[in-house]
Amino acid sequence: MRLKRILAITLLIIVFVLTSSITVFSETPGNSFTHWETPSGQKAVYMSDMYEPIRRISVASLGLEAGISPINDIARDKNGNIYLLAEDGNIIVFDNNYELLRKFYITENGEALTLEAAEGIYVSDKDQLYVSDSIGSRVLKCNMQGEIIQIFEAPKSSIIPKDFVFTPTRLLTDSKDYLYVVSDGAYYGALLYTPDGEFSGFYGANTVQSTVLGTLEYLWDALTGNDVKRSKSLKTLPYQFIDIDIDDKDFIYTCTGKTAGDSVGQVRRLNPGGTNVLYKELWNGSRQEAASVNFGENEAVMRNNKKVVQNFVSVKVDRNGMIYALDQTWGYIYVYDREGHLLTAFGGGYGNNDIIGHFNTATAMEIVGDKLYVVDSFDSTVTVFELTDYGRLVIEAQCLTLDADYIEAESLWQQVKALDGNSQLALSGLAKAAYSKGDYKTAAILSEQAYDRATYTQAITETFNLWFTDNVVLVTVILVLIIGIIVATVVYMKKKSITFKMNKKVKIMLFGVIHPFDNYRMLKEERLSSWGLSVIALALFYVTSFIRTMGSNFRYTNFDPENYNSLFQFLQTVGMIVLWVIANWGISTLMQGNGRFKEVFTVSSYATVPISISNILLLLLSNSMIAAADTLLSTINIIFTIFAGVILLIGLMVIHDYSFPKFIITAIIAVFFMILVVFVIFMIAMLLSQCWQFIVTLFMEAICR
Amino acid sequence: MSMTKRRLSLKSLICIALALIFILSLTGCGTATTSNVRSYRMPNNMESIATQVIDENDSFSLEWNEELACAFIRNKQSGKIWSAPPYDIWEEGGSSSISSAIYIEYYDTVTGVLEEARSSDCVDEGTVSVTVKDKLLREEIYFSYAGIMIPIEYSLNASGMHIEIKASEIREKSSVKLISISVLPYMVSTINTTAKDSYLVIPSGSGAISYPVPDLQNGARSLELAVYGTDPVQQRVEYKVEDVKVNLPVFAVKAKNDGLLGVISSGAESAELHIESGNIRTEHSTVYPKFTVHGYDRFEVQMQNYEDENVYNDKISLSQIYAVDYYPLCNNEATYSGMATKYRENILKLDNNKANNSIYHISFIGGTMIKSFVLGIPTQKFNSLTSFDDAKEILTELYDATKVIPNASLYGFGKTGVDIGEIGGGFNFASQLGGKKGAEELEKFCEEKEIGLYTDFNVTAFSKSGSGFSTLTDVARTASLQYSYYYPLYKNIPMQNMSLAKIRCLKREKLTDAVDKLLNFANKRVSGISFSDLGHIAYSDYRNEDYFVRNNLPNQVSSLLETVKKAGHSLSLKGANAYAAIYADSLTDTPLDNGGYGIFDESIPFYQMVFRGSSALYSKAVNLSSNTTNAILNAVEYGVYPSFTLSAEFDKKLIDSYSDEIFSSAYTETSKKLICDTVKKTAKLYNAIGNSEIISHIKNGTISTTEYANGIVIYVNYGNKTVDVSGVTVNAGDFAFTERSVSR
Repeated sequence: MRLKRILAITLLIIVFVLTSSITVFSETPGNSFTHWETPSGQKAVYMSDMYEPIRRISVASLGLEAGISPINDIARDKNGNIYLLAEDGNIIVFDNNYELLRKFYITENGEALTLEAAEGIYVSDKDQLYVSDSIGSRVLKCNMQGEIIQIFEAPKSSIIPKDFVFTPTRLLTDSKDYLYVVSDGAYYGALLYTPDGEFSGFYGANTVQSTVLGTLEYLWDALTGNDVKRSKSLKTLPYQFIDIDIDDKDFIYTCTGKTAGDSVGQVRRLNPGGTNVLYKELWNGSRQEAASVNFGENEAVMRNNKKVVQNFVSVKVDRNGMIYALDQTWGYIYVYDREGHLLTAFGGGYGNNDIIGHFNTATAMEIVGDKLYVVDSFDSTVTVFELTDYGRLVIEAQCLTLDADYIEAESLWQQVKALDGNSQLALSGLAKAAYSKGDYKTAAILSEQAYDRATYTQAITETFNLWFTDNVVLVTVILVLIIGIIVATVVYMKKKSITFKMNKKVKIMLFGVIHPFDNYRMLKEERLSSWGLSVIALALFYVTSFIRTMGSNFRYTNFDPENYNSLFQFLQTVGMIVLWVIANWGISTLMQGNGRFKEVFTVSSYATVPISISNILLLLLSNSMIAAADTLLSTINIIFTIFAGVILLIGLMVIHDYSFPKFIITAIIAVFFMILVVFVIFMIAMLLSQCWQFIVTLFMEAICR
Repeated sequence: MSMTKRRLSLKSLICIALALIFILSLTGCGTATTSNVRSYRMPNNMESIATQVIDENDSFSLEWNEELACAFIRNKQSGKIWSAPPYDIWEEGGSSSISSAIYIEYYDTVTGVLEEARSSDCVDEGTVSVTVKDKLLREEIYFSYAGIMIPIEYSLNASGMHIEIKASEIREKSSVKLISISVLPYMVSTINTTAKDSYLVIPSGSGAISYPVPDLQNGARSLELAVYGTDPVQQRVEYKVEDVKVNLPVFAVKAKNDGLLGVISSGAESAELHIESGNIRTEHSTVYPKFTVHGYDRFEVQMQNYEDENVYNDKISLSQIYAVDYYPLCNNEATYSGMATKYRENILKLDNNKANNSIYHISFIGGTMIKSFVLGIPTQKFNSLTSFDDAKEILTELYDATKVIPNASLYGFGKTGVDIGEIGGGFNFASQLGGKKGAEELEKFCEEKEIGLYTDFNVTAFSKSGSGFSTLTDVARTASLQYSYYYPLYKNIPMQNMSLAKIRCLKREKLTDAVDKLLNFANKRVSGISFSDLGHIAYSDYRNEDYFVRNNLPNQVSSLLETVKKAGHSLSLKGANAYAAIYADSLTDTPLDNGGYGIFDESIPFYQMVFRGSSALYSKAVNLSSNTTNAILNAVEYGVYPSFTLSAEFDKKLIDSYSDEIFSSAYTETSKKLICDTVKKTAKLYNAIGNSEIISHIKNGTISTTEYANGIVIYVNYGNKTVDVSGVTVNAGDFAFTERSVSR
């Protein structure tokens, strides 16, 4: 019999394996996209192209012969000429019309110098050329003819760790000729040299984000350390800089390649003191530090059971302060404004550069005017992107908006909106412009569409103020009338001795919290528990919960239409209560509790009434609050939740005739039981789902054969 | 007793069910593992023939060279010899890497390795049998180490050489699978040069030229492009962007004053074009077709680690014939204009359409599905964008403003809008847009105003059962015999978004039913029919041997389109492939560039040269472009009428839409002005060129010159300076044209 069973199960498994699979194919994605900032997080949307590829420059197209080593870096001089640095130190210069100007090697004592691994090039506005010789552990400063005039070598300082190997990669100088050098393996920041070549220290080190768990783990490892653990602990070193750029105010921009885990903080803006001052303005007006911002995509691709991590290998800042970050993994170029709003992401190719504008191994980039040059070291090509008319509009409009010149930006944003209905920045910019012009109603509508909480709050405050000023007399009259009617009614009812008699069961449900011990004792003794009212209370709990989630003003809800389903809310509300009731009743039966199932159900359901009331209250308040009032709303929420807890606690203590400690013990066991039940249900659901898939597959196989 | 009986019967039922499952599983295995290819057996003696002329006519001769073991065609007019290996290396005895008649790829099921082999090795080994019968040269190539035999037949016709390989005659060992055959890899080739008198012509998008400049840095530039685009039924693990595709089954080379045009006359749907430009090892640049024989899927599989692996179908389509015609050309014919003319007039035999075409086109987006909630439970709701009344209003406004009659198409007016739902949009109009009554009124309006109106239907892809088509039973199968389905990709990462509806391809046998149902619906209500998928998408179905590796799709689609035409409907096709385009009255979304591949040096209007005049050609939507000026200039350069995609309403809710057209399609004052300005600016030009064919096209830096058969010459200046071309002043970012020597 057992053999038969095993055979049958084996057969089922064989059939399942033979018949299940997923077909994979898809349409191509659009070229450019951006992120909408919404209460539920960022969302990718298509957009018009801000940049378009216009040309791919190759060694051949520059009229050069073969034998150029892979191109590792790109730089520009003050005239807009482009410098390409090949791995062997060969430097190729071409102008803005893509005409080759010259090709040369750095010379030392009149002899051309071939390098083993030249990784970075920088041309200062003072006509000085810097090249990093990675393997040679030095930075070469040259004149524009390529003759070495100064050599920066590995620093000798007490602050340099003994195992530090100077492997310079990217580099630049600031307005005071201080040299910043990124060194491979330097977790302490960029190396800073004075114009005299003196090592001045490390600049702007990344930090490791510490958590309580991480600290505990560190302490534990310290106590129980061994070599394996110590080798693993290297992973907690800060991420090193991969590329570096500078703006006209000497703010340094860095990117940090692959950041595992949460993939955050890939791009930074460091002030002259080395502190990261980049932040991202969130939808609700708050500012999130760049160190905790993901500058790439939240969605991740799994390939061969591994998460594909984005790799930011180059960063540049343009004359408008727009930050360009190059992701080698997908070949995307992200353009952020100085407040961390994503303007656009374009490029792509996912490791295939067959098409111009896509990349296999994008390595470095440079900006000259409206053109962006991106190096693909795979085939030593440079792709030139040019700002489109639409891109020019967006950048101009956003610069004006960031400078608070909202009205000036309005016409530009209108053009942007006409060309791209998906532009959140346009909606927000137009809302700000409308607000500046005093058109508060329009500002409120547009800012709500754009999830621009700050402008929305200002707009509705002004709208209310204006309305109140216009209608102050009317409002006063209505208020007086209402108060008068209430007073008159009360007086009349007292005179006539009119009183309302409420059903005892309803009274317990609604006002049980006022004298909880008395009320629930009465419920127990007079058998006033009610299935009907309990179900109504639960239904109310569920309905008010999803209405609050969906209907609250966008400032106070993280409702995400893409992922929301009230059935999950049903499970979280009604499901959890029912599970609690079963668990509590079961446990209390074993622990001499006196409460019956119906009574446990009734008390637990009645305990949700304050939460339902708070849901309604919060729904109404969130849609009528003028100023942002997160604290007020959360306080209300907490108070009503405490009420609910108190009702549940007292009610169950009374019906089970438990002491407080006993109630706590049974509650803990019940919660444990609930977790167990959820786990079992989850397992059964998975099993049923697989069975269903098997049946469907079998059915489809059967009808097709 | 009765209890025992009941128990027994239950037991019997379980046993029967298990037995059925077992049999079904075995049936599955049987289908997947039985090859239908004839077994490989090498003859004891190989036949051979001496160097001789196999056949000849006034223009060409087909000859055999015994020493090099290759067939070749001689152009008697120019004396040029076209052969594989290229004639210019005959004297060197031919490099083995380029002297092969065919390359093959085969999968060794024992080692699990995909191997490559070249016929030149068989020549060296003496395993090639050559015979001549009735002026037909037959070469049987025995790849003894692989256990595969490929028979190639060469014959001469009035215009050139014809070669074919019959799938039914291929032989393979049971342990190998022939995956692909590359035919005459260096026939359509030229020696590398930096001079611009030689180039490869590839019909990617509008058409492309690749100059055979030696690629000294990387060794060669190479690319493979599937003819008619990628197969949506084939499973894959990586996603390649393919905005434009190869629409025509042709490829060509110009080598100084000579040219060779290759046309895949059979099996193009199973072919890829392999392009290799500036190869410094072979010193040649070439383009050749590679035919896929055994279809396959690619999966991520878990072995010791996760790996990507191909799963091959065991059977091949025995009815398939892989055939290529080679047309030697010289002098004026040996240019891409001449090649396009040859293809158009001698091969497709297209007539000039004498009808008056509208000089601009409006596409309306009807609606789209968006998420809505019922008691917090998500559901799909139709979101109206353009009703029939809106369309009528917009057309009236545009006509009043331009006084030019437009051509119009309706997309997404079915039950699920532009989203893929039931086949044919449920063969109904969305009631939110005005329903059948609205459609009827719009049809009447367009008839009165003489506006060509086309309603678009999707008949190949569906995500919902309905209208007689089931997502359970009417789905095409993949090479690994699974039900094919896919999801749209995320907008930002190369991964399928499985939270969206599964899209399935209709099983090929049911395509006729779908078109019949469409005609039943359309015959009463719709004058013009548009297809955005049929004619654009080519897919396989491994349910039926005749449909393996997309086999027979051109024939099937041609016969369906013919049925539609016979039913009296005018026909519009979006991004149409050659086999479909010949039936269309209008072609929309015609490509205006070569797809931007790095291997190509120039875009050329090859597609337009072939189809202009026989159908009205409309561009991709100008208003969706981020550079409208260039989009208009591009349309003018290629003789294509501008097109605009519009929707009457746009709402923030639509940011979640997976359509990449909706967000910039809103009909506003800006878009209205763009349309009116464009139409007014281009009307005179388009009226002047009428239905005339393009006879030449030259691009020189930022200036392009397009000449038409009726004598009109158009100059387009993409630069930022005014220039004088042949006495005509062309402003920066503008165009000008001459009317028989009279400048504008």
